[in-house]
Formats: sequence, structure tokens, C-alpha cells
Amino acid sequence: MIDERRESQACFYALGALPLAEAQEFEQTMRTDLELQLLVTELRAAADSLPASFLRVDPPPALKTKILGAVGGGGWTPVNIVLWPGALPMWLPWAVAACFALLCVLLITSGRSLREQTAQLKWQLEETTRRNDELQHQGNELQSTLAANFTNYQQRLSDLQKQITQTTADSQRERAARETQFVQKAGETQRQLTVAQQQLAQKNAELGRLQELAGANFGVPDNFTELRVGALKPTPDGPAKASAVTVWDAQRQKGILVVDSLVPLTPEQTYQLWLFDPRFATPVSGGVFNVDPRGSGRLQFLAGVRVDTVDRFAISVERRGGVAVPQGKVVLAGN
Amino acid sequence: MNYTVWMDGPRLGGKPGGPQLGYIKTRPVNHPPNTPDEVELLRRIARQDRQAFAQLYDRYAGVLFATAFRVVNDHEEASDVLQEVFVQIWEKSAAFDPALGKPFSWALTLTRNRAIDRLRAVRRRYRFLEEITQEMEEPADHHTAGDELFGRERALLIRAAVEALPLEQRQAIEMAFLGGQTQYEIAEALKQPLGTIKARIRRGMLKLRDRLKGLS
Repeated sequence: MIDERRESQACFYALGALPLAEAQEFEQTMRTDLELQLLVTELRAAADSLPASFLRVDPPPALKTKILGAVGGGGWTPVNIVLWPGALPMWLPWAVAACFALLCVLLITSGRSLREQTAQLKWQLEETTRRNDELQHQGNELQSTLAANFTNYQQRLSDLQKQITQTTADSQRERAARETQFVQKAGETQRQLTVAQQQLAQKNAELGRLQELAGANFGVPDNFTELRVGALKPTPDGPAKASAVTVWDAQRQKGILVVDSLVPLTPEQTYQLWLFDPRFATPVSGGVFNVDPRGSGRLQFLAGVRVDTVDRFAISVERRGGVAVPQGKVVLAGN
Repeated sequence: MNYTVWMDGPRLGGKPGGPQLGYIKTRPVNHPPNTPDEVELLRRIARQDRQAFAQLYDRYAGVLFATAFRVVNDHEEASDVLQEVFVQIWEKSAAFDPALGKPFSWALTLTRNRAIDRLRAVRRRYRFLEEITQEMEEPADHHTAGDELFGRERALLIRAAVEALPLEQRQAIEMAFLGGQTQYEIAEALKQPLGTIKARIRRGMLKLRDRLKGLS
């Protein structure tokens, strides 16, 4: 069945009035459509009949002579003569028949191959359709998963926002608490500083008393220019709370030592005071002493040799009776 | 069914010098008889037989001249067209393959194309109304251009079938066939919608085909 559009195209085509592009498309369609070919044939025959209806207008009588003269005149070139069937060699029909038979064989082979290709293509089409369905299914699943994940991520985002809000509030509370703690500690530190200052004042007062005492002992109450006062502090081997103060009179070559919070020793042991003069390679012994059960002790000492300058003082634990050079642990030291 | 093809069809789009189409044809219903002697004449012409050429001229000149005159509407120009066509037949007859078409169809196509080319060369258009007015003044039994080729009786019947078409259908058909105008050009010239022109030509051609079938 030919539709109206094709019928219309066929009419214009038969009349030679179809535009070029449309005519080419029409010819392609016509090649595979026998019904359309038949229609065009009939329409073309109708078009060829149109001149039969025209008014008779005879050509000028001289025209025939003129045309015959034009084609028969000298100088026209011979044309190619087509060999018509009557002039063909006798073997030509047999050759044509052989070619036709060969063509048939080729067409049969080609047809078989085309059928196989068609079957294969059909199988490929089915396979492709199946894959397409699978992909569609996978696509739907992925879409569902995506939607679920999106919902989960929204929930997680909401949770995270809540956590951030909570953490921020906690941080602010913690910061406020730390600020309060800091203020409290600052107050405590201030109080400790006050106590330390009071203790320092007491120590200074004690130092004053010691100086007064030293002045009384050495008979030079108002002249401290030759006195060397040293404060000894515990070493890592000594008691943490232990302390000692020593006063050395370089002019008289004698001094006094007051210790506190030292550990009482066994009877086989004794504390020994050492004076460090840069002139000597080894310290100079200031004498041995022991402490009472509370760890307090007092020693008036004399240097065995002339000591002009004392850089440092030290107290060590030695065997009873003392030693010539320090051998035991140094528990207090200072300058 | 016996299919034959001729290659020298009308020019695409009616453009001078444009590619020409081939047609697949069956034996035409009201076509001039494809007598063996027409083919034989062309074969002889291919062998430079001037006598055969003269015979073919006598057979085709009337209808081809009338066709050319119908297009260019000028005796002198129609004569020039006819001369060019027959010279072309003389020169190209060797290339004519009877398996590809009918001698008359080939000659008619050559004539039509030459005439349309000439019409375009002088920038004129096919004037349907002038032609049809002259035609209507002629008596119904007046000789037609197809008398020699189709036979007087059949030529009259063909003329009657053509003239039975509504005027607007016949006008559109002739503008396409003889004017070499496309459907768009016809629609523009007649100031009608394109669909109307298509419908007129389609109905007219189908009607003509059916009536000519009846004649056979």
C-alpha cells in the first residue's frame, strides 16, 4: 500500500519535477519497492501520452532538409557502433549462461551466509536486549540504593550537626570551668607566694640573728667584710627538706655551721664539712659532726690549712672519724 | 511482468545541465507502440544510415515539435530545439540501449529537457493559459500532434482524457511537466498552498493513468 506522500512524490518524479534531494531519496525507496516502481511506470506512461493531446503544429518543411544536411554534412565524426545481438560471436550466449550459473552459485552461497549472519545478528540482538534489561534493572537498584544512601547521609548530617552543637556547648562549659579553676589556682598561687614571702622574711630574720650570733662569737660585731656566708641545699642524694647555713671568717680562719632536717646516721657514720678553695686540688675538711634525732646540728670548725677563698661548701656522709678527701655521698652543697 | 529501464530521464529539479534520472518502466498502456522497427531504426542510425534517420524524423518530428512549441511558444525556437534533439539522436544513437527504454520516451525526454533549457535561458516561464485558450478554440476533431505516432483515433481519445481533467489539475501537471517547475515554484506561481498543488497533481495524474488504462 502506497501512502499519499509517496503517491505525490511518484507523480512529481514521473513529471520530472521532483527536487534533487527528494528525488534521490525517492529513488532509493523505489529500488526496493516493486509496487512503487509499477506506479511510477504507469504514471510515466501517462506523462508520455500528454503530447498526444497537444495541438498539431507542424514543423517547417525545410527543417527536415536542414537537419538531414546537418547530420549528413562532411566532417562529422564516426560514432561508436554498439554490437547488437546479431553481430555477436556464437560463444557469447554460452559464456553468458556460464556466468549466470556462476552468479547463481555465488548468490546461493551468499544467501546462506546472509542467513547465518541474520541468525547471529538476531541472537546478538536478543543478547543485547537481555543485557539492556539487566542494566535497566541494575540502574533501578542503584537508584534505590542511591535514594536510601541519600536519606542515610541526611540523617548522618543531622546527627553530626547535633553533635557539633553539643560539642560546642560542652567546650564552652569546659572553658568556663577551666577559667574558674585558673582563677582559683591563681588565688592559691597568690596565697602560696604570700606564705613564701613570709618564710623568706623569717629566713632573713634568722639570717640576721645568725649574723648577730656570728658577730658575738667572733668578737667583731660590726665588721662583716671578712665573713663568708653560705647556704647549702640538698643534692639528689640528700634529704629533700634538709638545709644548712655556714659562716666562714677568712681572717680568723674559723667558721660555724648550722644544719637542719638531716637524717641521723649510724654510729659507724658521720657527716663531714668540706670547703673548696681554688688554690687546692682537693677540698679542705671543715670537721665532722652528727645531728640530733630531729636532724639538727651545729658545728664550729677550723680549717686544717690556710684557706683564703671559699668558693663552695659541701657536706658528705663519711665513716666515723672522717676522711682526708671526700669518699661518701654529698648530701648538701652550696656557695 | 516485463520491466525495462531507460536512463535518459528528465533532469532532476528541472535544472538545466542537472543529473538525469532513470526510470523503471513496464510496457506503457497508451504509449506509442514499441515496434521493433523503431529500435531497428536507431540501430541503423547508429551505423550512420541517413535513410533510417529520415524515417525516424517523419515518425517523431510532429509530436516532438508540438511538444517543443508547447514549451517555448515560438516556431523558430521550437525548430532550433527539434534540430538539436535530432542531431543528438544521430550522435548518441549508438549509446542507446533498447533494454533501457523506449526510443520515443528517450526522444521525448531529450526534447522536453532541451525546450525547458531554452525557456530558462531566455528567462521566460511556461504560459499555460495562453496555450489552453488556443486549444479550446480548436474544434474537438482537430488533428492532434499524436496522430502519426499514436494513430488518429487513439490520439483523440488521449486528448479527451487529458481535457477531461479539471483545469486547475491540468494546469499544475503541465507546469510541472513542460515548465520544468518544482512543486514549490508552481505553488508560488499560482499563489496556492504547497499542499493544494501536490493534491492537484496527484489526483490529476492518478485520474489520467486510470483513464489511459481504460483506453488500452
